[in-house]
Amino acid sequence: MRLSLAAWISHGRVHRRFGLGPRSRLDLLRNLVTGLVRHERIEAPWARADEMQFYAERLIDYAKMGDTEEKAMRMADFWLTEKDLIHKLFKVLAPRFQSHDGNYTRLLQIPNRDNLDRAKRAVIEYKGNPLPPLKLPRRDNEKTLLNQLLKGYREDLLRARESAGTGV
Amino acid sequence: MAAACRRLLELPRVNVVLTGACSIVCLNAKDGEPAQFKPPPKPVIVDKLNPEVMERRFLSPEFIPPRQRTSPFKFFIERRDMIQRRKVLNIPEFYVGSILSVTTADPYAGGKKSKFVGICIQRPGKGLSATFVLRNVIEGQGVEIRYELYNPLIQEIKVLKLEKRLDDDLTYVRDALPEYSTVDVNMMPVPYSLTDEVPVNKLKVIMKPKPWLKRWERPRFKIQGIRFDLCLTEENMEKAKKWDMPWIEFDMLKEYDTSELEKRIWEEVNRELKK
Amino acid sequence: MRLWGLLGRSGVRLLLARSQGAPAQTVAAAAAGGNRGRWCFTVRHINDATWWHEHLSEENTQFLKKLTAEEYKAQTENKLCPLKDEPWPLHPWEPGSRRVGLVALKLGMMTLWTKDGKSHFVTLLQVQDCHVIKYKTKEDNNGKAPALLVGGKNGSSFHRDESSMEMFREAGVPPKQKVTTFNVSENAIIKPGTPLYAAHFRPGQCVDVTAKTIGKGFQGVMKRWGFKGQPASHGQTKTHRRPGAISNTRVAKVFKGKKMPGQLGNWYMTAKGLKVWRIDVKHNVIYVNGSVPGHRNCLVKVGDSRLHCYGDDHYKNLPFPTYFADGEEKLPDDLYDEDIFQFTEPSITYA
Repeated sequence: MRLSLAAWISHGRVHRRFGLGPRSRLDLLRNLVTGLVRHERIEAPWARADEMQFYAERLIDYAKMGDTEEKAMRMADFWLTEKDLIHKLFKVLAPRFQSHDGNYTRLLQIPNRDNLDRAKRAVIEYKGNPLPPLKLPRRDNEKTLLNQLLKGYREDLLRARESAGTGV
Repeated sequence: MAAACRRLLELPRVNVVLTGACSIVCLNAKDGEPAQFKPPPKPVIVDKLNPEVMERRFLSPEFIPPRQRTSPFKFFIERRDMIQRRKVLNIPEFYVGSILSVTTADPYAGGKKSKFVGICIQRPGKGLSATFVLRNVIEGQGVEIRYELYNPLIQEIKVLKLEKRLDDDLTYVRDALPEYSTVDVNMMPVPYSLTDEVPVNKLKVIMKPKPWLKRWERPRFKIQGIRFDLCLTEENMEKAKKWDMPWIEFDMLKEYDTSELEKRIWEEVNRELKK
Repeated sequence: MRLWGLLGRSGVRLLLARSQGAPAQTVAAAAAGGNRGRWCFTVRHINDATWWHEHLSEENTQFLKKLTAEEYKAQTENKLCPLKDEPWPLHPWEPGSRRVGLVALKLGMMTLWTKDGKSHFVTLLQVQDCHVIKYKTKEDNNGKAPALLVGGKNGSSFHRDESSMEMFREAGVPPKQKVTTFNVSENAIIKPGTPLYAAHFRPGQCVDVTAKTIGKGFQGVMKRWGFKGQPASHGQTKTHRRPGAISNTRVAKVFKGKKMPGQLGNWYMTAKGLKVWRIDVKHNVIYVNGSVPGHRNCLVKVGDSRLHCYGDDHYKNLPFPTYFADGEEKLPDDLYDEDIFQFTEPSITYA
């Protein structure tokens, strides 16, 4: 169950409905996950990418349990339709995220599809991939007046508190 | 009853099955074989030696909150009252499949108390409104009583026989032969160990002919404890597989791992109970 | 754009106010007071397009969040002793007085038992950071009675217009998620900024609870009005859940207010005359008999019952105008109705 703030009044809906039924939904997501593990960065409709993100991350969690674990192996076997990727999952991706605790993927919105249905599109990738980095939204605004004023105030406050602490 | 006993003895020989089944039935028949009777004193001695260290870790299932968007604070509030009640009334460890005797206050009964002995077939509900269902066959009539676990009318809950069965829900014994839900009302408690694993009774029941309450052969019930080979044909079992959803176990959204939560709650409950 | 500009301006104003050493004002551009809602652990939406991300650096974001949380806390603690903080004159209760109510959070339901062994399903309502926000005089309100605005559960100051922020700033409390109006009598007015507690109500009294019901969308007459529908078989053609005739030829029109399909739920509804069984003074929880409109975790309005059947005596012994935590009255952790079974007692027996 998705217990997110956004789904607070969700009337019991916990996932999107894709395809022709529950089986079809999982098959669809399974193919996307397989593609993601193969290419490490794929483009998909935003809703599908968003839905898939959870599964892609949990799959890494399972892979980190090790390939001797039976449950992990069964999961990998189900979620990767191309079986040569099982090796990659356990030997490449799992060691890469060994020190991480969640947040293995990055989901970014890209311009809407312009030919068919103008669907919202997204690109999803595993972090730490060898591909050239995505053009992330830049946040180099350190030198703006607002940030500088806030910084000055922050330092003033810190100094005032330190002196108050020493005074007491 | 003796006939029932004999029929059970004719079942394929699984020793555990025979001991489990016969200790229920034979007590009624008053002809229990001494070979199958286990002498109780040994576990009692173990208890007295070190009662604290070895004791089995058990958290009653109603303490585990269901998976929903309720604030944990609400479950904390409820847990406080549950612990408070447990300090007054001893609610022992029991499972679906155990045989219990429950004494409640009853304004209409003689002596203002009523006692019921039966096999626990369900434990639904979470929190303060958790319940359990006892079933027995009395004078050929199946009787079930649903008790609220924390109801102040309950005077005493006694475990006559502590065991688990192959399934977590024994609702299907309503459709089984009556001997499987028959318990002697004057049954003496069978002593049990507080330290060892809870024994699992691998009894498989024989069903009455169809129609049943539900189609128990369908895969969603995941029933282990029915002898389907006696009541259904191969063809029927094949047909039931149509409803199987083998992909469900791979849907990670449906996972609900309570082990961490259970540990935390167990510590809290134990700490509060010892106060 | 308008909102961003607004936040930008207020952010700068905050900064100037601070650097001049002005007393603590409510931070206008502030994050959610994020100490509630621990059970929401996966917010899955990446939203880079907020004003914060565009204009503030990472350290400044964290700093402002921390500062806001501190300020909320300080504001709440400031208000803990309303009786020492120049209170408005308190008047005694007299027949016909109407007290203020509370804004509470619906937690869920559980069971309580009475001493005769009957079980009652109760709803748990938690009072979180409930403050009086504003006093409206009789003339400002509706010309009949003065009103008090009460807010519950601290919220974010995002998506607030300046006038409502001004209201919170004047009261000196953090912005609230829900603000409701209570019409009160002249002698029951309280100074804005006074905190309200669950002990405002007492076990045994009856309350009215108002909230927005769970929306069910456009529904047919069977679900919406409980019509019987038509039989499933016996020659029915496409007529199983339809309303049937809606009028007759004699009147030759459809009467106004005819029960028809339409929107069900998602409107305000009041459950009236619910008995309070128990009050948890320590955790500020009210145990109210029966069910209450709204989903779990929704904010509800709780007030003294307006049903006429209870009469004035029902409200005579309640704390008036409200319960003050720093007053003389010292309460135990739990208040029970006299009929309710307390779990510390031994089991009920019929002698």
